[in-house]
Amino acid sequence: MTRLIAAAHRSGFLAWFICLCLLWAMLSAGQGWYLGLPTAFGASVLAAALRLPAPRPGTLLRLPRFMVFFLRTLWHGGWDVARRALSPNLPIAPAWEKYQLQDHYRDHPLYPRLRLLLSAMVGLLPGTLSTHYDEHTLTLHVLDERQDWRVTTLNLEQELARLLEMEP
Amino acid sequence: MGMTVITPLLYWLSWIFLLLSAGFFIAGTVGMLRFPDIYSRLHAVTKADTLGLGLLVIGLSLRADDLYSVGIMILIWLLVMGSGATACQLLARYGRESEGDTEADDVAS
Amino acid sequence: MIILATVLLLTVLFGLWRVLRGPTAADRLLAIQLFGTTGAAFLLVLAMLVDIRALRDAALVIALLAAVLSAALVQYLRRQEKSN
Repeated sequence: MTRLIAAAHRSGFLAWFICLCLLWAMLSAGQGWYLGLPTAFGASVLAAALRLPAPRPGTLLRLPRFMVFFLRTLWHGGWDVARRALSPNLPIAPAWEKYQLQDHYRDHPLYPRLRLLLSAMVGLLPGTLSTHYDEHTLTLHVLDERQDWRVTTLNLEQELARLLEMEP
Repeated sequence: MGMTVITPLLYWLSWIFLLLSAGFFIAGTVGMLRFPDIYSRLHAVTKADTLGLGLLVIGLSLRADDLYSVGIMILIWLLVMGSGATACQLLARYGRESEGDTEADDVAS
Repeated sequence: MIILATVLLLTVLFGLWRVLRGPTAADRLLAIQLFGTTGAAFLLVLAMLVDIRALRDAALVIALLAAVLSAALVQYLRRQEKSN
């Protein structure tokens, strides 16, 4: 029995199952478990079989700090673009730019996930939007090239690395 | 007891969030109409509308009856944020592809 | 609340002008983003206004659909352009 639980934990099944049950409780207001439990079980088996990365407790502990940072930049990003859209002379200077990722994360096994998350989330930062990425560079559309977009992107990269426990 | 003081306070606080969110939704649409090219418009819709929805969810949560509806609203917000972040990348890439990739690369370098 | 819902609906309506005008296909696809986000917001306000819980679930479905739809449509249009 304990060996079974250990195996369930290793494969990520257990973490998925707990998260999905919580999700079901929220969606159905805690009802209909005869439908919810089998669905959560099946989805967890599938997730473990496909080796999807399981939600990790360590990441959950680091999440609050990241959320504070993220919500702050989201506010800045929305405020920035709203101000530009509503001001009469439309102060924008669009340009294409390249952003090089930091060297010291490259050898980490989670590097691809860092790149993917950065590429997706940079679109919510003030003035930046990613179109695609190569091995180490993101191609960004910048709403105003006079803006200090490189620093905000660098901050996001560092916070993401901290969230994924990639800091050396 | 304490409820009689707190409830009107939350009510007014929620109005502040709701009004702010309406402002961001308006700004998103204005940006979509005024900005000169597809990429700049994507900035406007993605950022302003995502923030608008976030503020709306906070505002509505402050006057919600139960935690389940708060949970569902937060879930919707996370979902919209995730899909917005992915979709704006896809659309920007698609826009570049259809206007010819070589030209776009020249601009980038 | 009614005014807020009306404002949200109006932002979608004005956004439709961009969809009609284009000029590129990507501009038109922006409507999915707009509908997904503002549509979900409108339904959430409506759920509070008329006190129908099911509208919140409808908002969830709209958000889910918007997520899948723009990815699927971009992929579809790309393939179509390649075959031409």
